Order: sequence, then C-alpha cells, then structure tokens
Amino acid sequence: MLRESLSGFRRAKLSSALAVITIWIALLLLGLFAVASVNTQRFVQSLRGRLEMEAFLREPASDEELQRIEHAILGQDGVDSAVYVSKDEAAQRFQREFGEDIHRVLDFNPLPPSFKILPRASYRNSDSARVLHRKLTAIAGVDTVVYRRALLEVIDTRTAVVYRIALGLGLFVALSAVVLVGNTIRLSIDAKRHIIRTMELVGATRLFVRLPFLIEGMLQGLLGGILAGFLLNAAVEHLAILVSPELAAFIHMPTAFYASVAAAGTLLGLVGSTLSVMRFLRA
Amino acid sequence: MITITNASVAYGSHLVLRDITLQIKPGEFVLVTGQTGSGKSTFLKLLYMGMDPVKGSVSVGGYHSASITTRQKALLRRSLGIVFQDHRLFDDRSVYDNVAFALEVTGARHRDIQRKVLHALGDVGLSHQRHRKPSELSGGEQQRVVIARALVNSPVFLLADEPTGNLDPATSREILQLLAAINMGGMGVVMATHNADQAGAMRGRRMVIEEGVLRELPAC
Repeated sequence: MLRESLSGFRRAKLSSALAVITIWIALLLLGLFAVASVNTQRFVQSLRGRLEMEAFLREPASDEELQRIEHAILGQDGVDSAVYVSKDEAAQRFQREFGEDIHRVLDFNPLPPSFKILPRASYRNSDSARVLHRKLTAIAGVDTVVYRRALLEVIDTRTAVVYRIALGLGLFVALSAVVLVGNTIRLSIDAKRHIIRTMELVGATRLFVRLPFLIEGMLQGLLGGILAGFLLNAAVEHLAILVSPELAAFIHMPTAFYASVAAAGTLLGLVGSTLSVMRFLRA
Repeated sequence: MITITNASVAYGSHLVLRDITLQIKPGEFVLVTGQTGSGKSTFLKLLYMGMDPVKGSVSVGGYHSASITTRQKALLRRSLGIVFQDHRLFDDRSVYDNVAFALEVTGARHRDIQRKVLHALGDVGLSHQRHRKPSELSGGEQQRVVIARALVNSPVFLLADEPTGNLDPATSREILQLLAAINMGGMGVVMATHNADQAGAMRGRRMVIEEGVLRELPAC
C-alpha cells in the first residue's frame, strides 16, 4: 500500500513537488498568521491586563463612608480588587510622577482620595468597561470614575479587523492548498488509470484502490507541514532577533504549535486527496 | 455456476446484446466467437459484472446483477480469473510482482502470496522468468504471465478475452493448449475469440454472437 502511495511521488514528480511546495507555502502563511495572531493577542491581553479604573471620591469622606463605598465597589460584578488611595498617597504619587510637591505648588492638597480598581478579565473590553463605569459612577460618594476608554476602544476595533483579515487570508490560502493537492491527486489518478482498472478487475476493494491516493495526499501534506514547521520555528526562534531583540524576547510559540502545523498539513493533504478521489474515482 | 436470463446490454441507446439466456456449469469450456465489435467483450463484461444488463439478470457464483454491491463485485472478481488481450501488465514490476499483485489486492499474507505465485508461474512454465520485466518477454510469454495472474487466486472460472489476438499461430496454439490443460484440471473457461477456425479446433461448447444475439452452435 505504502509502495503504491510512494510510486505516486515517483510517477508525478513535478506535480507532487508542486503540491508539497503549495502546502508548505500555505502553512507557512497560515503559521505566520497564527504566530502574529497569538502574539498580538498576548500583547493585547497584556495591554488589557494593565487596565485600571480610578474612582475619585467626594470630600470629605468619613471612615464609615469609605468602608461603605469600598464595600459597594467590591460588590460590583466586574470588580476583581480595589485599593484605597488616600489624599496623602495621591500627593506622593503626584510627586513621583511629576517631580513636584503639590503642597509647595498650591499650598494645599487638592487631590481627592480614590479607589484604584482592577476589573475582572471579562470586563476588560470597551462594552463591559462602559457598563462597569456606569455602575461605579452611580455609587453614592463617588465623584468621577476614569479609565483609558479611548485606548480600549481602539484595541477592540483594530484587533477585530486584524483577526478578520487574518482569518480570511488564512482560509483562502488553505483552500488554495486543498485545490492544488486535489489537482495533484487527479493527475496521479490519471497517470494510474491503467493500474486502477486492473486493480478493480483482479478484485481489489474500493478502499484498496483509494487508500494509496489518500496516503499519497497525506504524505504530501505531512512533508509540506514539516517543512513549514521547521521554517516557522527558525523564524520565531532565530530570525525574530534580527528584526529586534525586544520582538525576539516577546514572541513565543509552544512546541505543540509546530507539531500542529505538520498535523494541519497532513489534514490538508487528506482533505484535498479525499475530494479528488471522491470526484475522479466515483465509477 | 453462471446463469444469464433474458439479459440485454446497451451502450447508451445502442443495444449490443439482446435477450441472452445461458447457463455455464463449473468445469465447462465455452468458446464464444463472433466478428470484431459483435459484443464478445461485452458478454465477458456481463459475466464479471463490469456492465449491468438493461434488461434481464445475470447470476455468477451466487452474486446477482440486480443486487450486487461494489464490495461484492470485488469478491466476485476474485473468483473469476480474467485474461485480457492487451495483457494489462505493469512494466515497472517483475513477472513475479505482476502475478503477486492479484493476491496483494486481496490482502493475502506474504507467505501465501509467495507460495501461490510460484505455483501459478510453474503452471504456465514461467518460473525461470520470474525476475524479468514483462517488456523483456515475448508476446506468448507475456500472455502466460497474464494467465498466471488470472490463475493465482484459484478462480472457479477463467474468462479470456481474445487471449491469442496478438500472437503468431504457433504461440497461439501453445496458449490454447495451456487453456485446455487448465480446463482439464477442472476450472471452467469462457473464451472469446474472433477466430472461428481456432474455436473450431477446440473442444467445448461453441457459441456465436451475431447481431447481438447469442446462439449455441452444434457440437463438433
């Protein structure tokens, strides 16, 4: 069976090589999309992870009032944690960030006390953050709530567009690979019509006739997948540093990813050859 | 047993065989003659279910044309050895591998394949040529390889379509003698030939196809 499958490679060297190269390029592109998507997502997640809300309080606020407000904040569904920042701590932070003592600039401390709030992961998108913002603002004693709303909206809209484009291109390339593998198998079937007919006449089952072509397609896909996996690994592990050391330090893909590229190649080869066998060996 | 009942075969709207009714018992030697294009090959196709009758039915070894599945067709063909005029040998394989091919497709074990192939090649007198490629053999020897491939599954019937079509008279005689010897061993043979003289020289049931009608000729 394997000999029959390998003979397909020998008989149609050019078309087999073309199929392997196509799958290789298709998976390389898909893999690069995946690397870019996964790492963009990690980057976006890290940006979202830094999202904080700050609820500034009305003054003066007694200890009892602070406790009530803290309790009300922590009672909100989207709040993960909240840390109280007193007027003095706010002044210290001002000095750290601007290098000026607020008391020396204004003779008094106008900075209100606040709660620094860390939203839950599921609330780190523009829609949910807006809802949480509204709920926090409604708490009695809370004056205003601020967060980097514009940044969050940009992240949400841009990433959605990027993902859609990547997915569309990926599907297009994958479809091209399936069509090209299918075409290679069709050529292989044409080249073997004589053998196929003889196989049928000496009593070969349908599966026995078809299996070598399916294996041939899978082998082409596997070979293309392995080549793509190696090149992607080289790109992520060795070439990224040529672009920038920061990129190389940030970019990472698990080993299972490279194995899945080879598996995806095998699957593409199988799908292409199955479609071709179904179409051209129906009789 | 082969039983054909009122079977008609057509290519599109052109009727090639009409209302054929026939029974062939295991061990019989049946010669089917007729001019080129008369429908002899189609008749053999009917037997190995390569074509379905548009009317009537065909029953071979318990398989019926009306109900046979694709898998059953494969099983049926293992019980029929088919000899083609154009040999259908694989030039990139040795004589041994060509004969073994008929067993490989059935999923036979390697040891059984070796034993049966050597036996079949011995039957046709080609054991010493087993490592050669078909292209290195004469036409008669190539036809013997085809017969060995047809025999290797120990079929109940051997179907031979113009087995001497491309051979010189002396080699044709050798092939016919080989088929007669195979039949003497108990295997049924159905042979199609356009050569009426050749058929006349053979012992067995003789039939002729004329204008799509199969007619049995009187015994010699």
